[in-house]
Amino acid sequence: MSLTLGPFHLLSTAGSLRDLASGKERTDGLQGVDDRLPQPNSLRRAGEETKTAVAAATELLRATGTVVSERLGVYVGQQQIALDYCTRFVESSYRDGPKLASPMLFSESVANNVATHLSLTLGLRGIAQTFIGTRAAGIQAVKAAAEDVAGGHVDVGLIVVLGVATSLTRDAYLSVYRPFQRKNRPDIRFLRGAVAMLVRREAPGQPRLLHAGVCSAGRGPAAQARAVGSVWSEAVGRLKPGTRVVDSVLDLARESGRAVIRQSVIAAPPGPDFGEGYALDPFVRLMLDGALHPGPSGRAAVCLGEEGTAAVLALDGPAPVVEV
Amino acid sequence: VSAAPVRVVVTGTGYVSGLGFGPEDHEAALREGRSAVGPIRRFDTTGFRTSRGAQCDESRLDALLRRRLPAPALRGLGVDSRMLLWSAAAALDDAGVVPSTLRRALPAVLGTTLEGFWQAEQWYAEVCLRTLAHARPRRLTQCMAGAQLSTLAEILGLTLEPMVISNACATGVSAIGRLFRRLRSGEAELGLAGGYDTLSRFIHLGFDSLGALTPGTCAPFDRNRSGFFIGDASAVLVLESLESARRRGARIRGEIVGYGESLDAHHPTHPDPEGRGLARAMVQALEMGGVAPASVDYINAHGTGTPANDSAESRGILRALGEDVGSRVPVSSTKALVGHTLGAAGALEECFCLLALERGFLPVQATREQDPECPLRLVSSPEGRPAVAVNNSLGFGGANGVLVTRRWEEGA
Repeated sequence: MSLTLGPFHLLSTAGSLRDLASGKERTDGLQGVDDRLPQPNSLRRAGEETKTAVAAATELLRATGTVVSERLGVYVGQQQIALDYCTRFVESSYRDGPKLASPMLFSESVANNVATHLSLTLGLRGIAQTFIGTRAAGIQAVKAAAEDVAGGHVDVGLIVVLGVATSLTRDAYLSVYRPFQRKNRPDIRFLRGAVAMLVRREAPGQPRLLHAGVCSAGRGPAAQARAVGSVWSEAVGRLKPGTRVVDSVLDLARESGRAVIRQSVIAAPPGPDFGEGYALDPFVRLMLDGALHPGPSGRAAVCLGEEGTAAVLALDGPAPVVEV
Repeated sequence: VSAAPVRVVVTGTGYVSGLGFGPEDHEAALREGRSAVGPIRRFDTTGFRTSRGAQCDESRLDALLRRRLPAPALRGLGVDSRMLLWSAAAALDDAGVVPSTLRRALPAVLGTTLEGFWQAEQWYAEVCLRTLAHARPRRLTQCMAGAQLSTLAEILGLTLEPMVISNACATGVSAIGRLFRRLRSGEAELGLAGGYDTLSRFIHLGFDSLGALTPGTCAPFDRNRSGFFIGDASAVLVLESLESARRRGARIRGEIVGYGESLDAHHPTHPDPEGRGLARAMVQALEMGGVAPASVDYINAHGTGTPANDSAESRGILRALGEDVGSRVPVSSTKALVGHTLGAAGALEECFCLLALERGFLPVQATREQDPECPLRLVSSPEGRPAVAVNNSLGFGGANGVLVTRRWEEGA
């Protein structure tokens, strides 16, 4: 069965896709996200990432005239669990003592928090699943949505992929990748936000979803190269001739990550530098490549997580982007 | 992709909990209704409202792992990764699957709500209580679930097609359900599914702050129930098409015949008190499996022992099966024995269902005074020979997942 993936709708700290493509350096793109929510009161306790995800999803549904019913499934992809609230909860327990730990902070820290708020906001009663634990979590969400649409379990898959980062993320990555800089804590540029997109059967004007594959063989460079080779060889037979390939690797380990990918894949030169977007990153790179190199050719993102998961997402052309 | 649904069987299980390792350690406890709860030793509970949980025996876990793996491979791995590693290896052994003979990447749909957050928590405590410079970064390298699956792949010599689901307390069932559907549609022949999570300070304190943890005994469906305790667990199952299992000559542990899932769209943390979402998921799963309500012989309830869950679940069961049938089917919650094992719960409870179907008994759960708001037939004796088991899971966000499993009988 032929499925389509699109359109895409991005809300991020760096602004919209138009802002990113124009090279504007923005960090205030999520200001005023509360005003974009359909029911801001019900989300008053939610974190910025949840609000952004709900805003991106509801705006996309409205722009595409998608009917919300039990036949709409929600698939959320995020690299980490809801770290902001986890951190605040743990911190408060040390600061104020365990008896004063806030249950409100805890309930917002649950990994499927975004799916929960989406289901409550939209009144969804069907499928909502959250995929975590890797840079490829968004591609896993696309794969799951495609399986469910193809299997007839839902008619439309609403996918929301998040880029989440906190001061804890910065400290953690500095500890692992820049241990000698831990005391000075240099700033790391993060791309935070959410992209929403739809998987459907043959939606007119949307690119076909040619492949969404994931592979893991281990953590070392040789195992990572095997995973990239395996997932790429599975994808390559389905790509259109002349497909443009972009890569997505951890910003802090960019050279080594790209070197692993390039053992199997010839990727386009890196596009604009917008910081570290985690699970959001491969989608933004695909969208940006479509915006900067428009044309009918196919497009694929090859993603390698620092933990060793490799993934490929391939379309038969650039996906139209919704700007609201 | 096949036109007709493919029959999906379970050919291997591997599981660890506070009760022990694998079926031999668990069967007697399930028959007796023996609980693994005890004082928490992993972290300091001074100042907490409750201080009991069900930790796995880490020294025995390490001894079991060292029997099959070189010590350097295990160095630096957190308890979550080690439990996952042992249960996956045990499931593959049980199924007779040799990783080096697999010709393509093995689908692995695993669930967790916390990934390796216990590692991150220890690192963060070092940052909070001392300084960043004193925190040990090594703890962070096993935090992400992707890293834990990559480690699993590396140590066991597997190439995996990984997917990590986090669907709150319905995670384990969601993971099995996703792989089940995939195999049923003919898109794959063999794969791993399951879940894992670790008792950690964060999760214990979180549920403690919600008032969901019991200071006494976990007594699901009891009039005086006061909540649950948290337990460690990892449970992995090998799911396979019947054709593949027969071709390999594998021993079949049971057949998964139905899966249903739904959302309550009611409240972030409370289930729909009428159990409507759960009932829809149960009906979906039973219909998919072609199982009439009267044919259900056992329900492994989500049964957290909280006032809100148990009454809502009871209503959901009665709504799905009908009041007459629903009040006669034997029901128990094994969370009373192993605790709430979060992302592992649905998978571990599926292993208990398979064990009960295969060995012919009903898992027992002690109840002193049954709540009239929960008019179910609670299992007080292990006597019984169930042929069809239903496994319910409910999670935050109103997530419901239900599996229906049949006893395997050759020639069926």
